[in-house]
Amino acid sequence: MTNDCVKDSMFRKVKVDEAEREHLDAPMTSVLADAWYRLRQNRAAVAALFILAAIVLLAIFAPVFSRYSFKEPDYNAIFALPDKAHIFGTDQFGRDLWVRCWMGCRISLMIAVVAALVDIFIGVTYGAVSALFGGRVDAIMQRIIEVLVGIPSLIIVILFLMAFPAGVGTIIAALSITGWVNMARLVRAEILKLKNQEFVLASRVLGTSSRGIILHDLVPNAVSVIVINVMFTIPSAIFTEAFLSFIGIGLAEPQASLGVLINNGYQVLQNYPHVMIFPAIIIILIMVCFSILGDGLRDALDPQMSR
Amino acid sequence: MGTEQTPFLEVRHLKKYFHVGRGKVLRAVDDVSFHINKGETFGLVGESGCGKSTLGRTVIHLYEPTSGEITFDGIKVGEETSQEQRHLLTRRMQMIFQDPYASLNPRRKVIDIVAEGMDAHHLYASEEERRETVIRLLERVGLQKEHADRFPHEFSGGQRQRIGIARALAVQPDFIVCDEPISALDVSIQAQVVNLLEDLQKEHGLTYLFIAHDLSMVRHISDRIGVMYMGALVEVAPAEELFEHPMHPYTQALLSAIPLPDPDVEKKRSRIMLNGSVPSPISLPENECRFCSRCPVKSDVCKKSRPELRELRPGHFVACHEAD
Repeated sequence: MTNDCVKDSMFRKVKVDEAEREHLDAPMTSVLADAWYRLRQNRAAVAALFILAAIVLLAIFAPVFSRYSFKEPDYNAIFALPDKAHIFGTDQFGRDLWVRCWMGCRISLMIAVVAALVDIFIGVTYGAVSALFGGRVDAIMQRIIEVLVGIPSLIIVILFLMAFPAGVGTIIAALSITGWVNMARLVRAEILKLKNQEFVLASRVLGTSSRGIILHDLVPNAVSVIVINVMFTIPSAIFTEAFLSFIGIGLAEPQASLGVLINNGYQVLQNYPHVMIFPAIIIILIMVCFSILGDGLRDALDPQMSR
Repeated sequence: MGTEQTPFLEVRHLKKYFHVGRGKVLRAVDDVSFHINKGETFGLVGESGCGKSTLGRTVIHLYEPTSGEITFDGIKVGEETSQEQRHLLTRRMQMIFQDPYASLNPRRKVIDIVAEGMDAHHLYASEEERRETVIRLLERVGLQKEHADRFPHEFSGGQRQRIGIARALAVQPDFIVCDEPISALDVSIQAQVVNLLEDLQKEHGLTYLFIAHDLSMVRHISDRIGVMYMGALVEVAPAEELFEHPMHPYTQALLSAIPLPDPDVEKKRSRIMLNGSVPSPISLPENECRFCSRCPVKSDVCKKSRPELRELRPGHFVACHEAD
């Protein structure tokens, strides 16, 4: 059977004019610069970023520059209303609430940030190992995670706090026991997706070592998932800590965390509402701002995800 | 095209099976043998899912073969091959990928992408030499030196494919697997990339395994063509010969489906329509021709034994009981 289709003579070589070549005129940008640009377009996220920055700065510096201490009682000024001397008023021992609020904010943030760092460390390692080894290792590691997810985390945390002396370290440990699971799952999913991408195959064809592939291909491309997850872990850690302190198994007096302060204020809410209102406002601001910023970052780092 | 010379790449009885769970096995590449001579372009065609890409990736050792032999320039690669030898081979065998949007790491600059292979094989003495080599490669593939410090997302599909080509060339390979390098590009850009590949072949004496499903482009670029169906080669012949005298019913059907730019010819042409459905590659019958379910010329013998490649004309191999 002869075929009357394509003949080689049908092909002719054309010369491409230099002037018609594609040019790049746009200014040089990196992925991160692009993301920063998109984040700046999002007004709510920028506002959230500024409010969070202000809260962090106040938490660090307000107690330093105040003439009051967060634990010295002053029995001449019990339950003082907010005025010039005490911006947020005082509590039942006459302690300045401005200092105590920012001190509590400092401790809450610190607990949340350290818990998030531990999450990153354990979760990223666990997820990456699970995804990279695959097969049986992956199956066993995933079953372990499923068991951990199956037990309500609040119960583990409460039991943990009962068993160990209360303190900042114990709370961080309690939050970290179950907190990393989410991170591990996200990182595993991301790396499973990445490791069969053509650019990773290309690295293997080129003879790049596994270390190089992890360092240059996998980690940098998983960063956005990790950052976004941290943005949602931090407020939830703050909330869990506040909740534990509120029900009385978190930090103890005279230590102040936002949860401890709200618990104190709650007991005198009907007579002296200002004792509870200020720490409540701060915790609400932190939670809302982190959520908005997290959403903004997700849209900025992962433009395909939005809309 | 002397078939007498020792082939540059020889693949014998190559099998690549994937376990898809519950004891089921996907035979992506099932007993494929062929060879490629030095400086030649071997075109590999077939429909989606027939195992072309798996074959290409197994040949270049991205996948470990289930069984079979791959001999590259006299070096047999198997389990006993040491890590160092394999590392050396990765320099000589390179790959150009299908999707220009997925094949470049979005977080690295072009200079680092192109130099990746040079980094892995320590092919430069100083940072300046690295940059100079990358710039020379970029200019060779039709990009400019200003592009070295940009990130992949700033480029068009065609430009990205050029970066991919520069990356493969950076380690001075002599064999390149082109895994559908043009199927994701516009037609006008396709021609540019194919021309570039041809020029580079002449300059560096490269050998190509060119995987594609665009038959007219394959005919243009290839010296010899292999047609794949369901994990097996059904016909291998020099390009001209294959298009003039296709012998396997599947090849005949494929060729009749190529659209022609001339409407008058197109009107007169009769297209061979295949009936029946593509069998699932997971539960293929062992001892019958894989093409049975769709074959217009099948007979009793096709149900009883699997046809082997037979040389029916010089250099023209067909795996079909009915062909002669």
